[in-house]
Amino acid sequence: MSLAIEHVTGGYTRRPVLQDISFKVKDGELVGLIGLNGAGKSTTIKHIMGLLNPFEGKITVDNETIHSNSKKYRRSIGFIPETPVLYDELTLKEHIQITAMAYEIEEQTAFDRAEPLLKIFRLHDRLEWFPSDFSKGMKQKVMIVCAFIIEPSLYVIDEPFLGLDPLAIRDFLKLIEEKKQDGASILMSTHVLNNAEKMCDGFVILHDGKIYAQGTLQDLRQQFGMPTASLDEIYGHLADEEGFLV
Amino acid sequence: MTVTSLFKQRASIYNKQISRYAKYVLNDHMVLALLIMLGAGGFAYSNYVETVTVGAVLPRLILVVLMVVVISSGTISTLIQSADAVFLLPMEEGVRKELKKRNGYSFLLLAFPVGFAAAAAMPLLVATLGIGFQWWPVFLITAVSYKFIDLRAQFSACLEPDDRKRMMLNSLGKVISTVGLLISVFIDLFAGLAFSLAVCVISTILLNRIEQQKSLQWHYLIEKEANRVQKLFRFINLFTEVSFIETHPRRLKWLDQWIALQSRSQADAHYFYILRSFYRNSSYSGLVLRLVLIGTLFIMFSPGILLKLILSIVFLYLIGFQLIPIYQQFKNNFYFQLYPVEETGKIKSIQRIITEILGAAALVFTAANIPQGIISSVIILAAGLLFITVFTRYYIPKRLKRMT
Repeated sequence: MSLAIEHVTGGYTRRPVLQDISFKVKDGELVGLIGLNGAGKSTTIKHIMGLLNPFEGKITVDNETIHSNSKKYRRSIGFIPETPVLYDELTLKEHIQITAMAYEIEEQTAFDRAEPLLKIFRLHDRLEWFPSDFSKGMKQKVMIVCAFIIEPSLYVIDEPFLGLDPLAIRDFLKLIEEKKQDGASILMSTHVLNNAEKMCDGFVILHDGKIYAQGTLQDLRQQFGMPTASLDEIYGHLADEEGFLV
Repeated sequence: MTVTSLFKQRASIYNKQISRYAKYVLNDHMVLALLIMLGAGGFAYSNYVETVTVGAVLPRLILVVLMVVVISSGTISTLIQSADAVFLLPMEEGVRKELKKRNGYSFLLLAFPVGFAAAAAMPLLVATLGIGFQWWPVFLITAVSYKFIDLRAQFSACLEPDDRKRMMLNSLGKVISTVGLLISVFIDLFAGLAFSLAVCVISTILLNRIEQQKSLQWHYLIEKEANRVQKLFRFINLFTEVSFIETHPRRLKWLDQWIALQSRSQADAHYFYILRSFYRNSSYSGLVLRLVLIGTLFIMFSPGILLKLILSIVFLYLIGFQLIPIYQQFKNNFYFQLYPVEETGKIKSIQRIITEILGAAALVFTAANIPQGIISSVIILAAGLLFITVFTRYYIPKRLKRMT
């Protein structure tokens, strides 16, 4: 069992954004975290990353919480944030070095792992550049490379498709598929529903800080009473409902 | 909302911000250190002026260089923001008028340091030209009018689409003030004044005529203002946390070997990052370089071992104190919260880098004193090392804990 979120209530200040969230991502499973803007996807991810502390409930990765063994917990997660965040002062090569250092990976191993990724994303001749000067898509690729060289047991990926060119999206999906085969668990939040529908084994639909529905596409169809619906249609249904609430 | 009221609002926000930060910059430590340096500098300067004879050439040349540096520093605070290129584009006429006003305002503000420098230059002029002190207004007006030309040309550069011509306009102030000050200092103060006023009138007429057909260069304006604000905030950031800081580090490839050598002994992610941040971010390395240079000059030219000793400690303190905010580098992104590394590594890495930098500075200060004698040099070095130990072992951890 890689990631388990149990009855988590949390948020930024005392006012909770998330209310009693529970879901699991098993080994070799890709779960899509779906929801409208402001549903609580990024907040959920921040809690998993340990950037926010839940008010109530428990989050475990490989049966460790961030408090029981913070080093092991952190080392088990590779994170690709929604907006690329990079060191202004470090070159691409040094981003790989500092990642290796922080996660205690042999430098040579890190570069061995990075090399094919850099090739795929056509970054191999830019090792000496500051990635902060790159375009958004290229920055995103650097984030992907740095997360993948950790080879964690859990990948947390926040909206990966923005800014990537179609070729890169294709290669990225292939990489994800490979990692899944290797037994890694992946939690991915996205708005690009047709990609999600194709890739994900299960879905967690967040709405207003609560879990609105979860399960496989089949489960969702049943739950919404839309037996032939695509994820897109289910999502649309959710959006209409919100419109109704407003 | 009119363009005028928009700029008025911006100016009041900007002024409020700056005056709030000024309190932090001019804190007690800083004022004390400044007073000591001003005193030592004034003392050394007055000693020096006594040795200068009428007609000496070198002191006057140095004076011209220093005056040009003061005159050409400081740009127009246009308060242009990047969104203006989208939203204010149709109101260019109004923006242009506001920029003219900002130009005038910047002139009033920047005339003060120029006036101060001109006043400070007077004793040297009296000594080298053999004139009386009563002529100081002549030199003051001359110097200030060059600042006027400098800013006027900078404004013109904001309308110039051609890169090369823009660069020429931006250096116009420097060139004219160099020529003019040479006239003032080597030929006659009044001839220099006449030259400066004439150039003021001529350049204003010429630039006005050139500008008529041109329109604002938005991207240049935005970039220039962003650079100006960043420079200012980076300076303020040395004293207190400024949230808008945005650095454009330089690659400095030639330092790679040295950086690798320095970080070799222990592979630690904190130190790895902070070391590179230090070198590539000129707000840190440039500052240290400047302070070491100024400190070395002060130590070389101040009389007596006691004063040299005090100065070397004051400068070590200044460098160390100003470097403490490098700690905020760790807050630039969330990685150091995610990495599976010990939290204590942050403080350790800051202690290590400040120890290394201050150690190097202490060696330079000692070397500056070696012509005075070996024993006094040993004393300066020993006192420096003692200070570094106390500062990095006891002061820094306490101070950093307060910052977290």
